[in-house]
Amino acid sequence: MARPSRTGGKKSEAKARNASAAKGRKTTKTSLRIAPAATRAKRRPVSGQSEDLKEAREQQAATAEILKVIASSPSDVQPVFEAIASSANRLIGGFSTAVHRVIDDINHLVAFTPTNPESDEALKAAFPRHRSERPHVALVENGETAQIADAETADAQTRQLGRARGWRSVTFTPLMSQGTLIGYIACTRRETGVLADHHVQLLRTFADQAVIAIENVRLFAEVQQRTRELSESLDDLRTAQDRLVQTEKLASLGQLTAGIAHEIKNPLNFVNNFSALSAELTEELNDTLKAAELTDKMREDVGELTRLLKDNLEKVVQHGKRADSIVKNMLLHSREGSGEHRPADINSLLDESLNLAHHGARAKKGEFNITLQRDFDADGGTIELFPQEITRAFLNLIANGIYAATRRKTEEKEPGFEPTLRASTKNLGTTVEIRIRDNGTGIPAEVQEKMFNPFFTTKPAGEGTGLGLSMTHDIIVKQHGGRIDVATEPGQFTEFTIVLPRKSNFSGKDRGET
Amino acid sequence: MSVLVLVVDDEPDVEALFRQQFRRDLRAQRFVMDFAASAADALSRIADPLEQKLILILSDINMPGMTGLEMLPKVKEMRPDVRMLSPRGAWMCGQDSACTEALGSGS
Repeated sequence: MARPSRTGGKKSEAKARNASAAKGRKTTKTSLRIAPAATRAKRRPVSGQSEDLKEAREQQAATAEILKVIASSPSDVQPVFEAIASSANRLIGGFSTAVHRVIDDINHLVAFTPTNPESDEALKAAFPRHRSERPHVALVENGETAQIADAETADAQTRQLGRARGWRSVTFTPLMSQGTLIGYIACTRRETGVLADHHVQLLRTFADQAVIAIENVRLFAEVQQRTRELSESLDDLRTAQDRLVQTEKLASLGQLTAGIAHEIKNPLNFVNNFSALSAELTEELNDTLKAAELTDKMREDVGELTRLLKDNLEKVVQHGKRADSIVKNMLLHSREGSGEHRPADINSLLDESLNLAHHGARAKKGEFNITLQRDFDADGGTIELFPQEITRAFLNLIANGIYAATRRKTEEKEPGFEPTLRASTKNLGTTVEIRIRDNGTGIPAEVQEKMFNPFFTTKPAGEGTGLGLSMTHDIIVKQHGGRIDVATEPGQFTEFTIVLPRKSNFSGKDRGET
Repeated sequence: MSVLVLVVDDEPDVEALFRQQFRRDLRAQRFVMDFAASAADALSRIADPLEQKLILILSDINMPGMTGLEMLPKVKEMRPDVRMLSPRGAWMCGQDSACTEALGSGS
């Protein structure tokens, strides 16, 4: 490894220094070479030339630096403005340089080089302000650089500003985008006079870069906005697709259900009818045996056996009827568009459903208490629908609500708890919103996923067929083109929100066929 | 001359069910019941002169071959005075307006 400069004498060290100095100023090599031989008088312009070159290099470096800032900050224009302000101020030897934006006729100060804290605060406090209060904005509107060589001889506002901040001259360089003024760079100096041409050009370069940066950010924001919109519509499409798949599933299940129900109906009728008959026959057998001569023991046995037989047959009838009601519900579920399709008053339909459900629950349970609240929009108006089907859907939801609210009362035994069910309507123009809210036990998350599936029920065996909500869903969504959503908090409340279009987009004739 | 009720159903167990259900009336000979396993069978039977006076036909609706509804106009033509009912099909009638109409005109 050679280390010549360390061991070399003074002469060689000096040589090396000279060489490295020459290397460091590669572009000024020619002038350096002739320098030693030249006279003092001749040296001046040469040295001035080298200063120019040095400055040109610095300017190049500064613009390159700003391009780097632009590239590294695609979403934020602020670092670019700051880099421009400080570079311009440094290269021009200014007192202070500020970058302004003009947006919707309002002048915003976006970056500036600091001077003293007091003066800086005053500057910041002066913005934003309307362009009419800043005559300097109009100076550069034509896209040309404007200079004020001496603030003392200029208009009052300029004079005042100059005195307050401590500068004498100022140069305004416009930021133009498609012929419109979008901002300007204000470069102030302590000395009077106008800027040299190459400084004016430099400021114009900075201005161009600022415009590019602003455009960049705008385009970036636009792309992002577009991306957001696209991803939103993609989400919407996915949701719609999911709903479609779900609806299709329900539809095919509905058809399957109807098929099964039809097949089961006949044998079930036989079971029910024969067992009911047999119960009667057992009775008759008992009557017949009364005339027979039997020992007490035998009579007792016969009595016991016929009673058991009759009880069993009654059980067959009872459970057969249960199966029958399931089958009936299955058939109702699969049947669509029956009944008439006509305009009906939504408020009275909901009111009627509330009354029916209340009576139904009373008939089933006997004594019970629930507060029914009606909050109907007087502008509820009429909707084209199948009144029978919609009533069935409302009935299901209301009956579920009553069930949940009364169950919370009996199970939780909270003091002062009042089971309440609220039904409300709201006119939304082309649609109507119906809300059915109960303060009952709520629906756990795992149940929410499945609750619209046919045959899914949380009620004890024999109490629910698991078809209520799935039927309701079909009626609202498939038959009427509406929407049904649920909001619930376990142990607090459940609220079903139904949105029905006022006009169905199908003819009644199409749906009248089964 | 006793009266006759004709039951038309493709389910053979219907006969046992009806005979048991109406056992007291049958024992008391208030009417006679006869059973046909299909609409065609029923029509061929009422085409011949009968021993008893046919007053009522109880018919299933969904049957292979000819349905109860298809049979109805033929019965009306042959025996305008006979009433026809569909007890087992009744549960379907609520949802099938064609069925309700047919029964309305038939009975």
